[in-house]
Amino acid sequence: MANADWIDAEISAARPQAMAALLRQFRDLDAAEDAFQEACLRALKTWPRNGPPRDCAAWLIMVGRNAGIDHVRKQRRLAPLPPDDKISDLDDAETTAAEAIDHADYRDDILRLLFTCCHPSLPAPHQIALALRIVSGLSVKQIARAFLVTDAAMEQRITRAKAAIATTGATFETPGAVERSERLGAVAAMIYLVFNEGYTTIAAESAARAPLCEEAIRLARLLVRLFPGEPEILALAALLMLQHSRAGARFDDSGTPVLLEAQDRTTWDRRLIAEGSALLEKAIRHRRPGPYQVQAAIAALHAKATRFADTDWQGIAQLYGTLERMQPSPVVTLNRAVAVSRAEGPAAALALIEPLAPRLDRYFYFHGARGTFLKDLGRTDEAREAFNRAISLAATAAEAAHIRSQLDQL
Amino acid sequence: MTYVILCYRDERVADAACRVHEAQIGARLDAAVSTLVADDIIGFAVSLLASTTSTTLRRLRGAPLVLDGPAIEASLQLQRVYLAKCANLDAALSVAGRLAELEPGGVYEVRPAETIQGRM
Repeated sequence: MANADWIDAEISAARPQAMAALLRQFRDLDAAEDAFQEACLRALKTWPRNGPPRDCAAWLIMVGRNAGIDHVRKQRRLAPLPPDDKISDLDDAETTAAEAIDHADYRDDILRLLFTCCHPSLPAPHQIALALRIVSGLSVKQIARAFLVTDAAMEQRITRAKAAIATTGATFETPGAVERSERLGAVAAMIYLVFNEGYTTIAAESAARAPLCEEAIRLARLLVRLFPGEPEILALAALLMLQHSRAGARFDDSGTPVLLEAQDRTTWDRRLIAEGSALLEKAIRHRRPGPYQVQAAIAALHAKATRFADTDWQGIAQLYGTLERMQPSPVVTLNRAVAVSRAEGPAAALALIEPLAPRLDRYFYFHGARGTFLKDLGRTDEAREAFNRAISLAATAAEAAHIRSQLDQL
Repeated sequence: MTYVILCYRDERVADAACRVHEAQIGARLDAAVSTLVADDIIGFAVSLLASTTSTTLRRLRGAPLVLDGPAIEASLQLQRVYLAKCANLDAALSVAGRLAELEPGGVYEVRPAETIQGRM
């Protein structure tokens, strides 16, 4: 590995913990970011010469802290700064002091950092952008690309999000058990949003958005390491891995989305499936079911089927039923109906979704699914009507094209 | 003499490293291990999933206690295990060295093994 590569990897690996500790120290996102940036610059200068410190996160925290305090002093003009070469020569002192940093608090630090980004006053897209900037360390340019906005617009969004946090204020007390679990829930939801932002995409954008899925999985893994015995956190990580395992099969060479039934399953990422399945198995052993576990179990049943025809639709329909009871939503019912149509036939599925019509009338997938059920029942005229309605609601050309191919089969 | 060669890695760094780069490392490592297996030096090689998939069982006052996560919380976690037939420590270290060259992030531990059951 080239010098720059290993330093990059070490720094991004240490980033969440270092940023979290610096946020606790300075209680201000901008100050923490500046201090971290300063520490990274020093690392780039000294690590290639001296090799990486034994604990990179602790080193960055220590150096960042000093840099931040220097900065405050400089602003107040209280004390002259030592020359830069003096500071860099303090390596041994820095390393020793860094190793003395108490690691006991870092779990709550990282949770606080993540929680700060999903402050309830921030709309979801701002939460995601902020987390990617602050926790993952993606550049404004990268994030702007993923969100298909200009760099300036993204810069402004992030600045506003930080300002909103600065006025409402993040909390710096050590959280109690209830508070910790609430924070964990909010952070899990934010990570899921980051993933979906990357997953819900069309081929032309998938390269720019793929990093969002990878980052979400990284954050989920980080959370699992901090809270190894939380079944919903284990399941969230499992869910993201199982979904992402199909990434390579979701679009064909021309960029058209490939439906689950037509995907080349040999290109699914077996190692991600194995890891996701193992995490889900651990989660279920806790016997504390939750929505992420159910969703991960559904994804696992898809992943387990080596051919589309082997899919356990009965099991998937049951799991959607469970999810419906936990989180009632017409979209979940619609998904259950799709599984029911495979397991029991289109008549049962159609009966299931008819009551949803008033609420899902403006939903593309509702009319698409309804058309398919009607088509399978041989009610051609009604199917055509439903498909036409779906086309009028299609958000992308690919969605419309898929429905047109259904129409052609009538 | 049989040696167990244990390869450890900082998983946070592995997580942060570039996917494509990691895949290339994995492919080169697999090829090298295949050669060592063909040469009858390595008996078997195991690649472990991330330590987050680990479950640990202890006995607490006589009763089994199952905990999530690896037995030892450390920044370095076991990633691969090899069983190698080597004449002596130097030979074992040179096998580890060949593998380490391909995987710069890995830390290798070489330890002689006593009893081996099963097919090797």
